[in-house]
Parts: sequence; structure tokens; C-alpha cells
Amino acid sequence: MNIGQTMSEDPARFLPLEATLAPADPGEAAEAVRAAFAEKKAVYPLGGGTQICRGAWPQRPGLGLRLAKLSKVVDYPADDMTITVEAGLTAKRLAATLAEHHQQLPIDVPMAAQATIGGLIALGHSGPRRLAYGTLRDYVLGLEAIDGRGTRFRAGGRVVKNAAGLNVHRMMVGALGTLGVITEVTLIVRPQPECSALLACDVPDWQQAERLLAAILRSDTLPTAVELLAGTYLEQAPPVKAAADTVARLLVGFEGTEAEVCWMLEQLAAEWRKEGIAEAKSFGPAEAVATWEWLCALPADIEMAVLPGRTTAAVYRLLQIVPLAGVQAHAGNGVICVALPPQGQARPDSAPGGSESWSSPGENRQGHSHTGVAEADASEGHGKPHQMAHIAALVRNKLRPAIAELGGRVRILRTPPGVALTREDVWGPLGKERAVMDEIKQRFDPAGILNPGRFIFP
Amino acid sequence: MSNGNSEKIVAANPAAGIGFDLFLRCVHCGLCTSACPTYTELGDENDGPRGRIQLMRMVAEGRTPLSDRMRRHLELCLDCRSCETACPSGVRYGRMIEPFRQAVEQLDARLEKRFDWFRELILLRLLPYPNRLRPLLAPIRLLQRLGLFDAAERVGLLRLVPGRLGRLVRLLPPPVSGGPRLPKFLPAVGRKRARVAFFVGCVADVFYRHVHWATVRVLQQNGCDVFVPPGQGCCGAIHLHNGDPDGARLAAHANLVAFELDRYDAIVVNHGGCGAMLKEYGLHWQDGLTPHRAKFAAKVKDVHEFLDQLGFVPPRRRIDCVATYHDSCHLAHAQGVTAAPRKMLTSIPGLTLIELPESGICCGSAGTYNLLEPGMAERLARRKLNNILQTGAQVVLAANAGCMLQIAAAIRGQRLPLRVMHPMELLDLSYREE
Amino acid sequence: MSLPPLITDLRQCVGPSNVLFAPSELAVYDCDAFTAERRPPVAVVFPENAQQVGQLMRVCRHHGAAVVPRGAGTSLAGGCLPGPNSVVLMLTRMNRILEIDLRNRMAVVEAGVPNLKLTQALAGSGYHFAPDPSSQGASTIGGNVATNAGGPHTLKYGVTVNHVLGLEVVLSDGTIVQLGPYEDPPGLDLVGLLVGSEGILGIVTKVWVRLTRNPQDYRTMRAIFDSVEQASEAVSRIIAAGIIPAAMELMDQGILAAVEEAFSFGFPLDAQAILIIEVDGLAVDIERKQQQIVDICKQFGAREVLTAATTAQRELLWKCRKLAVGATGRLSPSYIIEDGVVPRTRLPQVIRRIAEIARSHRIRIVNVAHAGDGNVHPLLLFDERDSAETQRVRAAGREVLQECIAAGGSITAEHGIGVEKLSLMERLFAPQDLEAMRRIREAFDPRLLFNPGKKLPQAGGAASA
Repeated sequence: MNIGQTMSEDPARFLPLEATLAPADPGEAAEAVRAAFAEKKAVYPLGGGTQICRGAWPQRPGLGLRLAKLSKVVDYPADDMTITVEAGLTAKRLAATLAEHHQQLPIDVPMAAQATIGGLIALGHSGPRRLAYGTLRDYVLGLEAIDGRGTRFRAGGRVVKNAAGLNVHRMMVGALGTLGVITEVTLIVRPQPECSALLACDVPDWQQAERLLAAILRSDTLPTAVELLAGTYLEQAPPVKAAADTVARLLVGFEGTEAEVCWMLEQLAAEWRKEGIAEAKSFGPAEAVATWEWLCALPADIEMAVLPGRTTAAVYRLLQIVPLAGVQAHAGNGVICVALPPQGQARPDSAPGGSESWSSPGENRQGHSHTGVAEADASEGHGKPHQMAHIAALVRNKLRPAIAELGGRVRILRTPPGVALTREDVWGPLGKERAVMDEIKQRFDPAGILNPGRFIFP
Repeated sequence: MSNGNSEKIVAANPAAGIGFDLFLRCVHCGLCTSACPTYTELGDENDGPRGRIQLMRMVAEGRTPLSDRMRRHLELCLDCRSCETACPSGVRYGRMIEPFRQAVEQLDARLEKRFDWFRELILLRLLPYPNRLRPLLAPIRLLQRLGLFDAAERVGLLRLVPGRLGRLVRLLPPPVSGGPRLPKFLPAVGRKRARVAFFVGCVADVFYRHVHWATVRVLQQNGCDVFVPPGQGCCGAIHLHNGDPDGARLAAHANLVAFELDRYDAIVVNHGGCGAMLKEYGLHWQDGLTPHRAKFAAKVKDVHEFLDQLGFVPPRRRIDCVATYHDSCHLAHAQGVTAAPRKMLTSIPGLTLIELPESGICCGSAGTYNLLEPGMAERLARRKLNNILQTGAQVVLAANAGCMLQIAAAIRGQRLPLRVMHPMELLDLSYREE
Repeated sequence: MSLPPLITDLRQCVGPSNVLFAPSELAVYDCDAFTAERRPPVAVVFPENAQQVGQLMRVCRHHGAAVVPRGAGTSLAGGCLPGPNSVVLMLTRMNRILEIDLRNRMAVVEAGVPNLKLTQALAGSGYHFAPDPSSQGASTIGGNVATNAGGPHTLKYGVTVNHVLGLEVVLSDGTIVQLGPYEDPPGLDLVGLLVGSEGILGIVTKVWVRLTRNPQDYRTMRAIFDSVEQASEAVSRIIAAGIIPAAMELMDQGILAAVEEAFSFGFPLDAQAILIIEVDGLAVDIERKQQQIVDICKQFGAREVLTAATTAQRELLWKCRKLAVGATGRLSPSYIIEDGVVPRTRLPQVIRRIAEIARSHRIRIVNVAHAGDGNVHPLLLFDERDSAETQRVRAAGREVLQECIAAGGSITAEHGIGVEKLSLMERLFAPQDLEAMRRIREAFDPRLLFNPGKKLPQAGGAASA
């Protein structure tokens, strides 16, 4: 066993860690959890640290369980289109392994060089391409984890279709590690598309935005992603033309064979012309890569979810409440990611990511320069308590009621260090189903030691 | 079925007439259930094909006597045989429920359980005989012509006619001048391509003689010499399905005598119910005439089926309307004829044929079912009507007298501007040159 | 005559005409499509809405009666087999399509809507509900949710769980909760947990399903092979070429005979295996993909590859495949169908082993397979009146599934565990894995009243075959 030292640039330093452990194998990890269970000591699983600000900040001191050494590719039967890897493998290395067989995990991952598979699964992360490919949950066939008593268990399997047993693995996606420390996962993979491209247009008003989004559903094309950019992100988005009368920009992504992608670009442009969009800009295969990367790396503080048909209504309401928000909507799915402006700032004098904005450690707020290296430092004037109180109040008093009226929900994606938001502030209210969730949690982690205080559980 | 000492066993066990191998064909997969109209309405497997087979099998195996509740579930079956179309294992459900129900009826008769005047007098002695039915209808027809029948219906006077007889009266369509009795022979128009005998039937000839005329004209237009042999009568289906197999055998015999099989290329029939029965002549009774009846059955063709196989002449006159086609159970499920009528109808210039949702689900008519099980029949009629309304059609087409009566009555009940026609009527119009 | 208190209370919830308790009527509910075990329930109830389901749950809980939810009863694994002192809760009267909402690519249906009814209701809309189990003509969407049903097109489109946005569920205390329908609802993913839970966690009364765009174009091919190995190899090569067809279905010689008798499609009866391959997507490149598939099939020994020329031909081809299982009623009076799944590349090896198992048990086994998913359905034929043969068939079935486990697969891909495969759960999962599942069951249903004796073996290995 290795007690790792806390490095100065390590985002985990904002957690109340008494020690950090980097087990060499799942057995060691299980032993550590068992020991913690015996002492009722909290355990904080650590991946790449890229989303360390997700959830409320925990108070209970405890053990950091760093999974970086569990980074083996366990089995990759490429012809079966599945792969089994350890949880500490980074998304970048996974992608490189799959690329050798022209395959991919079609989930968009920001900061792939640090982000680990286990971390992504704990977060239930999914990006723009969820429209065509579904979410990460749809790709997890099975996993191995350590429960709150230190017992290792498996859920699911390694085959693409499996109706044996309960979908415990599915439930653990997005549970923020509160039911078990994930040590190994089996994923479905897909062939890499031959080619990809995007088509963009500017939208003069919100009625038109809704018309275009509805029209895409009837389109003969099959978009991989439909992204609506508004607010401050409109200025940063790849330009279509210089136009003042624009409320949003629509970016529609396509993947497929070269012939398919070319056909879809022309087809959608033609369909848009009929909807009164005279000018559309296409980003061919060469330019598409950078644009996709930019789309996948846009920072967000808040995520709202409504039915897809209410996307424009939700964005409109949001911008009424927070005019200077940066908005990226996965409009085909009704998932709206929002970057909030710093409080009291009338207008950002630079792109978000400048020193005025609050940011999380280890996270890069600059779109295009996606180097993956953590540069921002949370200790420099970010996440001042008064500022977060403002955000909590904004979400609680204004955004949540507004979006609830549209039948949706809001959650906070990032809580700057040192700010005490309640769990309900972060995740939003739950209905009567909460009782079942508590029962499940109690049985998987009777001492409440797994990532306490961060997710919906104490 | 060909059981030597069947008399005695039938008396003890109504399922004894069913070959046990028929039960074994059912693998209990349940794929039939959603095709069954009564199951679809009630959601109880006792009212679905798989459950009914199990009920009959339990009786056959002597595991339980036939209780009143079981009997209700079996009586509620429409015998539409939609389940046979759905069954992948080829279970012949009709060959189980029909002998079973006959045996139950016979048992009742033998035990002198009850004298059912409606069954005995109306169903078995009146409906199958046009010569008796026609004069009895005269007073009602007079009321209808005077417009008083409609008024009586509107103010609910007809509800005063009791029970099943009242339902029969309410089913009567408004009078149409059906035209004179069909002549014995109608020559082909143009090049002669076939010689066919036309089956006239009983109820169909009373209510829908104009459909008969339309059918023979369509046959003529397609180069058929049409013969209408005298001496023919009811196919026997009404008798058979109401527990009178001997009456049915007599009806069949009359037809056997009337049709000289070797003179015709086919015996053509235009109503699904009659056609299904005629095609099963070889199966229902075991005696010296069985082979002859089988030969008869082999000659029977539904008119759409026949013309499609012959290669029909495309009709030319334009009829601009939106129509939908209802699959008569005895045409679609018992005879398997579904594509030919659609093919012929879509060949009419100007006609838009909208596919009817749940087209293959029974309308509730099912022979005399609507007279005997009015509750379920009305539910199914309502379901059918709702589906028809969804299509936005102006004309509903059905190739069976019972369905036409049932659907038309449902439409009258709601005073909807919808017409019910036989496909042959529309085709006849389209074949007529201006 | 006074009725048992349970019956009286049930009648109070839903009305006397909606409760069956006469023995002759209960007998019809003594099994589903898995007929090897039978047990009649003590009552059958027909609720018409979620509130009634909630009341019924409270009554059953009060009387300690188990509740077995049932839709169309097409489970091939005995998922609806009543346990001791069980009330069968029928969802067949909750069969309304409540909403079709194309702007949100979504439909809201009650649990008792048959799968195909939804697809029919969507005709002309340009959308469909993707899961298409072979039972889709009858099986209900609630049942599809309970078993996480698949079907031939799961290769490209995924299984039921990938198409469920939200659920209305009645919990064991009678509480009604709504989960979803928007994406990633807060807290734990209970929707994902409930899908495939075979009725042991709660009773699903309403489902929000995701609708899928109809493909612009498709090509359906039929390739004839002289060996199962060649056919499976072709399947692997097509995938390796980066093509994901909508479906790749394999039928072996044995089942071809039954299908041919039933539907007269014109399959050559000497073919050892045929593949039905469907590729769909944009019209612009479909010819090229089709040609690639044809070339690969030929390269791996296909005797001939035919493409369906008309919609009618395509439909008939699919009908043959989907009704193939039922058509085996023409081959023998009874059969057991297994639902083994292995990594795709292990399929030839497993099919070879199945033939050996058939020989060693002196029984006949024919196979259909969702070859693209590595999911094989061996049909073990027998005559239920021959008890020795029945024994041999059940032993052989067990052996086939153990073979699947050994090859890194699972004992069910889409039919569920039910009662039929319960005893194999301990071979597939370690004790601590089963323990994790039991915890979830207890969290939902502490008194274990939901569909007892299914899905999960009792703690302590008390499962009996």
C-alpha cells in the first residue's frame, strides 16, 4: 500500500482528507474500505479530479481513495465490440486503445487526459452526441465495485444483451460513488464513424428557434447532435456571419460515411432555406474536429433538463432571469448547460475563464485551447461565500421554480471549494421515490461512509 | 371427430368430439391473445383463445365438468377465427370450438333444458329461408318506405320490440330496391374467359340483392359466363353455428344437388361468411357424401380471390372518394383473403383507400352473435366505428352481409354521414362506362 | 355463502365483476408460455388505474398475499407463474395509449398496451417504438419493461431500457411514484433498475417511451450457408468491417423445416443455416453497405444472397423469423426455448456444443439466434406425455446454459430468469453479487410480496429447479 502525498496542484486538496491511498489492485482497495467501515471513517474515491466540484462539499474527514493505479485494460475482444477496463483508466487512453481497432466509446469527455472511466460513470457524464448515441448509462454492460462494508461485488455482465439479475450497474451510473467504489467496468463500444461535420446557422428570434428545432425532428437527416448556443456563448461560438439580430446559434453535427455526411449537410441546408434561413455555414471534416472539441469542453455551472420541446422556452426563461449566462443546450434532448456570470458583473470583459469568473480547480474554462492541463487555481478569489450564496438563492428562488413550471429540473454542476451549499441546493428536490433511494443506500453503505454529504445522501 | 361411439361420449363430455391432437398443437405461447376481440375488450384470458382452449381441454381431460361460468366464456367467443391467423403453430381453433359448442347445444336439447323460441323459430326456421323471411319483412319495409320506421327508431319505439327480436329488427337496413331475382344465366361481356356458378345464399339475397347484381355485372365485365343454378339455398352456417348440424347437412345437400360441379370453373361467392362455410363442406360431416362435399368445397372461390387469380380487367371510371376496407373475419381469417379485395379497390381510379386500424378485429356481427350476445357485439361495433372514424373515410367497404348490417346499424345509431358498401358495388360503378 | 376475507377486500377495491376466484376460471392463469410448472392463483384482479393498483397492493399486504403482475402472459421463463397464496394482478385493462408526442419523440402508454398496437398507432408518423420482441403482436409494453425485452433489431437500436424515459410505479406500500420522463432525473436511476426487474420491485402502470425515427431506407437480405460456422463467421466479419446492421438473424436447418411448412417462403431445405440481415439508414449509401455485406457473406461461403425486392417480401421474411418459434409446434407437441447469450465470436463454438448436447441426450434441438448479439435460442423439442424425454430435455437445457456461462455469457438475454432459470443464478453470479440484488429487492419490498420465487434465488441457496 502506498500513502500518496497531497500534491499542491491536486484538486483533491479541497476535500477533508486525512490521508490518501492509491491501492495497486481492487483487493487492496476493498481492504481499505473494510478498514474505514470498521472505523466508520469516510471514504472519498478519487479519479482524475476533473469534476471534483460536483455535488456539495463534504464535511466529514476521511480517506482519499485514489484509483489511478487501477488502469489496466482487462479484456478487449474488439470483434465482440466490448471492452473491460479498470476504473482508473483515463478516457484518453481508453480512446487510444479503441482507436487501434477503429472503435470508440461515443461519449464526449472534456479533459480526457485526466478524466477516468470510473469517474465518468460515477457522474453519469454525457455530452452533445447523446442525441444519436444515448448516454453513458447505455454503454455500461457491467461493473465491479466495493460496497460500504468493503465487499467486492459484480453487477451485469460482459455480453451486449443480458436480462439476468437486476440492473444494479445502471443504477450506479450517476450515483457519485455513494453505493460503491467502482473498480472495473465493461463497456459496449461502437465503430468510429468514417467522417463528421457540422452545419451552423444564426437564429433571429425564439419562435424561429423552436420552429427549426421542431423541423429537425422531421428532417430526412439524422443528426448526431443538435446544439443551441445562446447568451454569452453566442459570441464565442464559431461564427456564421456578422449579424446583430441573432438570439441563438444552432450547430447540428453529423457523423457517418463520407457520402452520408455530405448528403446530410446539403439536405439540412436545403431544409433550412425552406424555413427561411438564407445563410448556413458548414464545418467540413477538417474544421469539424476543433468545433466538436470546443462543444464538448464548454464549461457549465448549472444543468437544466426539460422535455426537448420546451428547450427554447427554458432558455428564454433562463436568459430573462440571468441575461449574461452562457447557454449550451443539447436541444434534441432538452438538456441545457449553463455557465453563470460572476455576480455583479454587468458584462464579462473577457471570455469566461478570465480571472473575474469563478471556476473550479482542475478545470479549464477556455474553450478552444483544450490542453487538458489544469491551470486555473481555485484559491485565487473564486467561490467567495457571498457569491455562492447568490447562486444558491438564484437557483432556489428563481430558476428552479421557473423550470419546474416547464416540468423540468435544475441541478448545480459545480460548487466552488469552501462554499457550503446544501445537498438539496445542488441536486434539487426529490419526490416520494426518495424513500426507496434511502433504503437502497442504507443497505449498500450502512455506515454512510461512501462520499458522504456530496450526493443526495448525508 | 370420426369417433365411432361418439354418441355416448358426447352425452357425457362435450369435448369428446375434439381430436386430442388438436389440443396438443397449442404450445401456449399466447400470441393469439391480442388478435381476439373479446380478450382485447375484456383483458381476461378466460375470454381469449389460449384460455378457451385450456377450458375445453380441461373438460376433455375430465379434470372439471363444464361449469356455467366456463360456459359463458365459451359462448362469448365470436368464432371469428382471428386467432387462427395469429397462431404460428397452426392451431385449428375453429375445429375445437365449433364441435364443442354443437355438443353443448345438443346436450341441452337432449336434456330438454329449455325451449329457446328465438333459436328454434327465428334463427333456424326463418332467417335461412328467403321465401319465409321476405313476406315477414313486408310490414317493416312498408314502415321504412313511409319514413315511419326511422321515426320509430328515433323516438325509441323500436326499443319496445323485446330482446333479441328487437335487436334483429334494429339491424334491418333501410330499403334499397334490390332489383329482380337473378336470372339463371348472364353472358360474359367481351372475350369469354371463364364459366362460373354464382352462389346466392339466404339473408344476403333478401337484404343485399343489389350487391348480387353488382357482383354478377363485375363478373360479366371480366369475361365470365355467370350461371345462377336454381334450387340452391342457405349454405347451412346459421344452422351449424346454432347447434343444428343436421339442419346444416340438409342445407348442404340441397346445394350439392343444385350445383353441377363439372359444368363450372368455380363456384363464386361474394359474402365471406357463406364462402367460409362452403369451403368447409368437406370437413363437417362424415358420411358417404363426404368426398363429394370436399370436391364441392374445392370449387368454391371468393369473388375477389377468383378475379385476382383470373387477372381482373382494370376498372376505368373515376370515383373520387376516400374509403376504408374492413376485413370480414370469415373472409380474412377463415379464408385468408385479405390482399385481393384491397388490390381490386386500389385499382379504381380516384379512390383513396385508407388502411383501417384493427381491420381484422371482428365488428361484433359474427353470424348471429349480435343477436345472442348484444353487450359484447355493441362494444365491438363501437370499437369498429371509432377506428373507422379515425380514417376519415366516406365509405366503409366490407365483403360480408353480417358485417355490412352491423356496421350500418352502428352508423345509423350515431347518425353519421357514412356509407357502407360491398367492394363489388364500388367496382361495378367503376366498370360502368359513362 | 361467505367469501374469504381477502376476496371480499379485493372485490371492494375493484368491484365484484373484476375479481375472479372460481377454480375453473383460475386454472387458465396457472401458467404463462412456460408450461412446465403450473399453479393456480387464489384470485385474479383486473384494476383499471394506478389508484386501484395501489389499493389492491394495500389489501394484499394486509392479508400477506403475494402479487404476481401479468400482461399478455407470453413469458417463456415462467415470469407470471403464481407462487403459493398469490393474487394475479392483470394489467390488460390498462391498455390505453395516452399520448403520442412527436415533438418530444415520446409516447405515453398504460402498461397493458400491446407492443404492436403502439407501432400501429404510430403508422404514418415516421416514428416507431424500437424494441420488437418476437412476441410483440401480443406482449405488452409493461411486460417488455419487466423483462427488458429485446428483439431482432436490438443489435443497432438497443433493448427496452434504452427506450424508456419514465415510469409510473406502484410501490409495495401502495404509493404511486412518477420517475422521469426528462433525462437524468435526480437521485438514483430507479427507472434503469425497474426495467428488467421482472415485477419484483414494483408494478409499472404507465410508461413514457422514446420513439425512434423510421429509417429512410433499408435492405433486407437472406444468405444461405452450408454450415452454421460459416454463417457466424460472416456475422463477425460484417461487424469487424465497421457496419452495424439493424439485425442479423440466424436460423438453422432444423427450424427452417418448420418455418417452410408454415409460411412457404421458399427456403432451400438442405441449407444448414440462413442469415437474415437487414441494414438500414440513409438511402444515399445503402447500396454500398448492402454490397459490402453481400461480398462478405459470399467470401465466407454463402451459397446465395438474395435481397428482398418488395416490402411484402421483406415483411414475409420477418414474419418467418418472428413466428419461427411458434411454428415449431408443427415439429413436436412441446418445446422448451432457451435464451443463452455469449460474446458474439463464441457463437459457432456454442452452437457446435449444443449439437453435441442434443446427441448425448438423444433429443432434437433446433436453433434460432440473434447472431449479431451472440444471443441463441435453442428449441429443445419433446413430447410432454413422455416423462423420460421431458427429463432429458430439462437436463440438456441446463447444460446448454452452463455452456453459455463457461463461454463468458449469460443464461438469459431477453426472456428473463422467471422460475425457469432461477437455479442457474448461483452459477452465474457470486454470492455477494446476488446479495447486492437482494438488498435492492428488500429496499423496495421488505415483505417480499412482489412476484416471489422469481428472478432472484432465496438467500442461502434455497432455490429449487
